[in-house]
Amino acid sequence: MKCLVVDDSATMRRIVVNALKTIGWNDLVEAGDGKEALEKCDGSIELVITDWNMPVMGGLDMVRALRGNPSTAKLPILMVTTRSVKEDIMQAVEAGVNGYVLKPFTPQVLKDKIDQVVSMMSA
Amino acid sequence: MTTRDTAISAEFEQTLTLLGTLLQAVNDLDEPHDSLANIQSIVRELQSRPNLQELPGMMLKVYKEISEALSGIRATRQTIQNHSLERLKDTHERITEVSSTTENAALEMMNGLDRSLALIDTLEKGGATGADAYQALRDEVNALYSHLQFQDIIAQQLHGVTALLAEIENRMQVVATLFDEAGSESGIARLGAITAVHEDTYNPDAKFGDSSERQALADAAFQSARAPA
Repeated sequence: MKCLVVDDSATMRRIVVNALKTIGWNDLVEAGDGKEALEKCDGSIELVITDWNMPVMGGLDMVRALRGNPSTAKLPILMVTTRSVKEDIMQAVEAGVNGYVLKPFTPQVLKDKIDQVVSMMSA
Repeated sequence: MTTRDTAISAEFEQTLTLLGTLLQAVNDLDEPHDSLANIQSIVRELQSRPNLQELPGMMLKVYKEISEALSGIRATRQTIQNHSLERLKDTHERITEVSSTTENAALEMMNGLDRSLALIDTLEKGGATGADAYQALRDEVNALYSHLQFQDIIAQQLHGVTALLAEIENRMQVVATLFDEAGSESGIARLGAITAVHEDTYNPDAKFGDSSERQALADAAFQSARAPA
């Protein structure tokens, strides 16, 4: 299964990629901001894991753009971020995020959330 | 200040000097010498000075500029008190948190490295079944990867501190400019031009500790937000 990892921090992308590989996701694409992610989000992507705070285009704007496109409207999207206030989480839900992980996370937490999101969207 | 203003200022200085001489001459009236003639001469010279008619207008202009400068300084001081001082109080706490985050992450990594070394020792001595021991070692190394998330978190915390200091520096610059431009409208207008710091690319409230508890709260908030109204 193919996953798109979006974060402006190269360190964080490596950490997420490493965590994904430990749980069996080996076909991975990376992007440094929302705009680049939209360009790379073709029909082969089955899961998007995105940061919130990024330059050029942030995570929420990217999520809204994906939800607004019929070809990506049902794509499972997991937000991985440091933003933990209730208002931010509500905003993410309204934008169309399917799961929410706070940094720092463990590989097990990431796996659990991915499983929830993927099974939810395929139901 | 225009060339004309400069010329009037210079003549004004000379006028004040003459007035001072006049006052001295009046005070010397009691002295037995030709002070009256001296006074008449000074008065005639004063009457001939054209800048004396300009004096009231110039005084009003200077008063207006000083008033505007004071008004600008008051506005800046109030803004600094309302916003920047409060945030300055946070700066120390944020920097302390950065230091604490780094130290905690370093300790966790060292603990993980110690456990990894212990597992390697076990493997060398043949004291554990190969697959389990290698998996345990792999888990420890992957956990070390996770601890490196502190770098992203403290980078965001430091962005917040940097933005705060830049904001305060900008406000100080405006105050300094007010004196150079004598409280001109452009100087005061710049008070409103200090833009708020954009937090689009970082979260100044990023935290490293209590991750399990915070994730549990986030999960509850997420479920609540998804629940139908």
